Amino acid sequence: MTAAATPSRLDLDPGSVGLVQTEYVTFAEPPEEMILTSGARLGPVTLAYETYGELNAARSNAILVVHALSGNAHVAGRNSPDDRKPGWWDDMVGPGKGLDTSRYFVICSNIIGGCHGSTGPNSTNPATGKPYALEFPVVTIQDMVAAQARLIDHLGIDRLYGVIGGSMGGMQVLQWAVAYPERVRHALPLATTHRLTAQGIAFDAVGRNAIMADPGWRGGNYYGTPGPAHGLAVARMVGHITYLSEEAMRRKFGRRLQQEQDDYHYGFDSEFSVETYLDYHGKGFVGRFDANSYLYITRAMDYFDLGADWGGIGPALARTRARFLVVAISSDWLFPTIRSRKLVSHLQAAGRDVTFVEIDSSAGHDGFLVETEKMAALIEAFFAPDPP
Amino acid sequence: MGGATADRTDPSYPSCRTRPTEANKMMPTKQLERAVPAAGPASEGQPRGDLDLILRLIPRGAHVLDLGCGDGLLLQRLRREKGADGRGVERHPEALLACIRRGIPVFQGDLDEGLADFPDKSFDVVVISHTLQQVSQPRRLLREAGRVGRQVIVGFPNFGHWEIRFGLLLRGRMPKSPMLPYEWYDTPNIHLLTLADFEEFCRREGLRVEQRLALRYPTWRPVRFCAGWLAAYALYLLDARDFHPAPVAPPAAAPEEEIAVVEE
Repeated sequence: MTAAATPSRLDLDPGSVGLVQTEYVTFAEPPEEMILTSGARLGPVTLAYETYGELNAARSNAILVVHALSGNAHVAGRNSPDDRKPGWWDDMVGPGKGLDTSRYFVICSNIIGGCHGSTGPNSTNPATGKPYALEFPVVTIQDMVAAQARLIDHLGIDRLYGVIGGSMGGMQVLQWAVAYPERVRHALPLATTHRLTAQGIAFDAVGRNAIMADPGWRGGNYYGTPGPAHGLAVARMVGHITYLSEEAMRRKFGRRLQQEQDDYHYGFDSEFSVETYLDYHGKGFVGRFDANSYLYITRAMDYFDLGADWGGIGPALARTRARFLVVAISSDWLFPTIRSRKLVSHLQAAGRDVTFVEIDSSAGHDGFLVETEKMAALIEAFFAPDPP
Repeated sequence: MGGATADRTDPSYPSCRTRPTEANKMMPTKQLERAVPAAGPASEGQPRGDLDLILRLIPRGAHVLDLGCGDGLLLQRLRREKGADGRGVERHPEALLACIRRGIPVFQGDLDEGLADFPDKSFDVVVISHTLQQVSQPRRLLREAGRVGRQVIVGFPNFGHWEIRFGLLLRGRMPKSPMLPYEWYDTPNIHLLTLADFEEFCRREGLRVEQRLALRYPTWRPVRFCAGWLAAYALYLLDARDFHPAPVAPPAAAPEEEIAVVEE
């Protein structure tokens, strides 16, 4: 919940939710474990989550934000006044912002399989007292959403005003709308797909291979050691390339060499600024992400096929009751517009209330996070005719 | 304020909620339609003659697709006044936002790319109003509309109107009229046509004209005689129940599902 009035620079920003605290809920205690899509059992399950704004008396203004591959529950504000950066979607979540916390009660939880407070491969396996590592069962998008539904139960909310997320978050949005049709009023899948293409799976496979080929990975049992730092960094580098468009990279880096380098060194250390950028972000990622989580989460994306549990995409979408706003980013080649349009035509064929917008942006897949102004305008307009 | 002189590129959009509603009545083109702000009470319930007429042509409870739906006013009125379930296709971001704000489901799309997202005969009525003359492939669009809809309503400015005819004949200049106020170099209207052109087209394509409304502008009153000369705008209701053209095939690539089967 929002804690107010700590004297800090936070007070200077009226658009910030201010200081927030991550909270935790634990459920599925044995023998009542969650039964996962794979048939495996998992319990107890802890979810880390944050909330912003106030739930109204009718409990009708809750919006669930679902995060992408590397995200976490910390969407907005700062966990401590010294935090260098606010949450990952701070531009969108706050008073007067696209997801206006003076009107809506915004919730975000870390996915299961994640590594930011929710149960995942780096959590302690109660059976062994050691980290799960690869004993952690493979989780799916369905499992992530089922766990989120338990959190929403815990918060006493029957029906969500909205579920919104991009990329893998968008997959969860779709899963929510299909698996819990009566619990979702507005579904906003952004820059996403109802199932990954071969190209998407291929990039995930490269990332996993980089991790697993690193001797530091040790079959997943690297906890307490430096771990597959290099492999995870390479995985992140590949990922990062797929999140940007060619144009965005050209504009941002061109062929420039790194700072204070005037000529080629005729060697293989990083020289181009794009190389040092990828190095920097690859290494930074290692400090905040668990390599095994990367394996599990990318696998969940690969397996996701919205129609699979329901006899096809048509019958799956026919179950839904939400109004849909599907948004694509014009320069996104990882989750390209054509995938969103495919989803939209399935929704259309199923007779659903669906609106489709392609945001014109050169930002690539990242556009769903950085085109805040356009996205906020769309969200605000989409919610306008049907308030909580 | 005359339609011909109205500001087509209002820079204050979309914050101009208090824009005079008169603009709604007078605007001759799609662009002006877009300039009208979103669903605020200011722009609702105002008479825009051709909209009233289109509303009358559409049966209660119909499933309607409006191609080039602008700010979605027609679809909103259809929903309210006719209980119709409408969807729009629109290209321009500001217009899309206005539609979304009205709660109208709308797809961002380019009508020149066809309507591959929509199955055959999936709508009772497809509306193409103030749009046909602005697309690069009007024949393709009309065929697609006839494929997707059981009926098609087409509205377009009549290039055979006497002001246009005399404009070219007497002045030797590209003709303009209140309905077609643009200069040759900035007009969005790239496929102009007359009533006779359209009727011949429908005969050739096998689209039966159920009803024709030849209209004056800006009164939107019907023209009783010499429609080809006196109508500034025309609305046609076409019967497409037996119209089954081949869908406009999206280029080469086979559908994903089929490829998956081949690989398995």
